[in-house]
Amino acid sequence: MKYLSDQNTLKLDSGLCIGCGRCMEVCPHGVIQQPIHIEHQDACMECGACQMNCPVEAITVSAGVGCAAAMLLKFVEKTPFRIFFKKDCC
Amino acid sequence: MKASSFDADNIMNEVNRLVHETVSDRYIKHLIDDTGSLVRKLHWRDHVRNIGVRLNFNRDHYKVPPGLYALGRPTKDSEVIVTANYKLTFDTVRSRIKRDCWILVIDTDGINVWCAAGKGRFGTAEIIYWIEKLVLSSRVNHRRLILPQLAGPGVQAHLVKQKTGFTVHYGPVRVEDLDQYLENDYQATEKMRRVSFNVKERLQVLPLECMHVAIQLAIVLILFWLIPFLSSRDWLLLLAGGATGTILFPLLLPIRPFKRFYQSGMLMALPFIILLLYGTRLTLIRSGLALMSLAYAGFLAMNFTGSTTFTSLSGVEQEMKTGLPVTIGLGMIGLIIWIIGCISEVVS
Repeated sequence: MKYLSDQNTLKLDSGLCIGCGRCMEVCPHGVIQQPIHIEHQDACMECGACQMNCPVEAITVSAGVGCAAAMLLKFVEKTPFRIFFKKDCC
Repeated sequence: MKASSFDADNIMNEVNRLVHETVSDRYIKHLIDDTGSLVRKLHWRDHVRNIGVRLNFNRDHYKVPPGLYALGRPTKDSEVIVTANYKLTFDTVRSRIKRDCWILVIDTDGINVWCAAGKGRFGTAEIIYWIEKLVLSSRVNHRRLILPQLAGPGVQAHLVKQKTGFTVHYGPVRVEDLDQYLENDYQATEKMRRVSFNVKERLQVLPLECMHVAIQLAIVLILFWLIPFLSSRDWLLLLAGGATGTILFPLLLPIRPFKRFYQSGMLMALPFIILLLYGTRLTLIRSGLALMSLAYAGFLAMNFTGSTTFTSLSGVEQEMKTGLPVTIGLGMIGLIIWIIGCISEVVS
């Protein structure tokens, strides 16, 4: 299943990459393939696992959880309306 | 870089900053046998509580005390499997692994692996903390840790190795593949590395949202009973929106007509709303309810992004840019029309 295909921030700097393959191992959507390159950019969900596990910081992605409720909560928490919302997420 | 990403210099400061509350052993007392090992089979009490948690009862307090547990009769050479201290996760792990091994439960505040990793709670510092606190190096002869693949967003494997000497092996996504992965010399197949979101998995996450909506709709229904000029048949309009957003949309997710969730939710609710309006007089009250129902379906569908396994942060931001004004706006217009309808009922 894919989401909005033109929307993601995943970038790989092949100049820095040492080819250890950790990113490929942790990616839950098979975005990165051997020899290390981004094969399915539009399947990236920006979980950030590849970036976290890259020992040479060759991967950058603006990582976070794609959850509308969490984003809404973050916004509401700054307003007086917060009393109506209970933090009830994972 | 993410806030939960560290380097070799500041990771130990983070380990020292961690705060751990004492967790009661009430949910696992009956799972330890005479020899101190974990029981594999789920007790009926586990089943009942697990169903309850799926329905949002006691979900925030369903925790297991962190520590090193023996599954079967592990030796000093057995593998160490790391997992979260959410009881639902813990039950899956202990019941699906066939081999004897150690289970290292770290403190994720009762949150599942993937969500805790996303928040940095199932993180590098937490793992280092428990390896040191439990003196893991004296409990096993080897220096290997098996982590669930979905811990990836929170863990920097190279830092764990650097600080503790333990090599992190990312196991498969699903614990039922773990035995095969280990037999296969720590090699996961392509399929083991992919998250899915099939009908069964969607059905597992959908009751939670249904419970929220059921409570909201029940309150509104009482209101409809109490106010004489509101008919409970019109309440069905709101039910259509709620049920579409929380049941129909998640079920039809792979074949949704639009990529954006809110648009698809609204479109799916439309036939039911039209059907309910068919043959009735289109009063202001009914029109208002129909609009609110449409907005409700769209909003709930958009909310489902948090339950899926594939929506990205920037994608959801993009969807909300239009989704939020459209659903909230439509809902407000509906509410105003409904209020005007109610006032004119009272006046006449």
